[in-house]
Amino acid sequence: MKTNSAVFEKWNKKNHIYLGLFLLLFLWIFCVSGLFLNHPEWFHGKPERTSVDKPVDMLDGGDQITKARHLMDQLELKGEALFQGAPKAGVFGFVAMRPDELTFVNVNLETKVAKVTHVEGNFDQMLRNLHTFSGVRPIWREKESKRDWLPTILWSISIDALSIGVTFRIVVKRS
Amino acid sequence: MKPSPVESKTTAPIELAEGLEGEALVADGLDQLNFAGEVFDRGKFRNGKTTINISKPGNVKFVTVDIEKKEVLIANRSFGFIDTLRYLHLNPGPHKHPTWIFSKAWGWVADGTVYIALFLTLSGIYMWTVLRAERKADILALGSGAVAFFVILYGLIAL
Repeated sequence: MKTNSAVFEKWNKKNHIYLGLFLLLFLWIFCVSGLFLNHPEWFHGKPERTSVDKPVDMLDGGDQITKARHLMDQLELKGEALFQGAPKAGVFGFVAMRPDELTFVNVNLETKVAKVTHVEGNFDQMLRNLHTFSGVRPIWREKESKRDWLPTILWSISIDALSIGVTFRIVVKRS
Repeated sequence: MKPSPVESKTTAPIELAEGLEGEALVADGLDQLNFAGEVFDRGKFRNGKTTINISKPGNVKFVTVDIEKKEVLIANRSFGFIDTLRYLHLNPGPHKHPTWIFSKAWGWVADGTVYIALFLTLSGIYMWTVLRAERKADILALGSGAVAFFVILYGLIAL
């Protein structure tokens, strides 16, 4: 009959391989993007910025995220809705963020015209955003910081899984 | 729950040479006060005052130099373990080139960790290709990981 330690050893060996293979690409992207973050001088690409004014329909009720989502549907924007700091009087503003692009939306509540500024990042910026993009940005002092886009929720779960998996593999050595 | 930073304020006299400004002023001021850390200021005066931010893991000092009074106001903010870890995770980072030797060394450690992780994973894959046991289950693990990765990435940047 196998002892408990022999069973654990076998399980641990398998777990080392399966967990390692499953998390491999996640680990690589965080390794490479970590290098990019640590060495901004390696790349000098500047993002492309374009602005356009568009008439929009504003929701009367609902919370900030519901209003932002309603505007994003009209403007055909996808991403996480983020709010920077305290709201300005007469303006409803937010940022629709994806790792490869940022869109700043500022709606004049009187004229119901949105100034939409689109910032298209390049490859290294996308990598850096993948490293830091968890769907919430405490640095922007959001009042209600919560994830509201499914891909970001999945990505943040992946980041947690990677951290837990790597920590587990370090703590529980392969026999 | 994360503890709030502990704050304290003190004043101290300072002797600055006439006309000293910019990085030379910052370096001289920090020498006199015997402070070390990552400095976030270029010593530009506004209304006879300049504030120098000196950061270390777990501690930030805001040193306001008053040139007329020949005095510095030192606001000291000490952070707990979680914030210290956060600082170490975020720094050196992309926003400022490190100037303090320990920040530079920490950046080298971060780089070294990445290179070691890449080496270990690549050599691990090589070992795995040589090891023939349980190929089906391994490919399933690698494949499902790759599918999860690309599906989420597709959602993030292409949808």
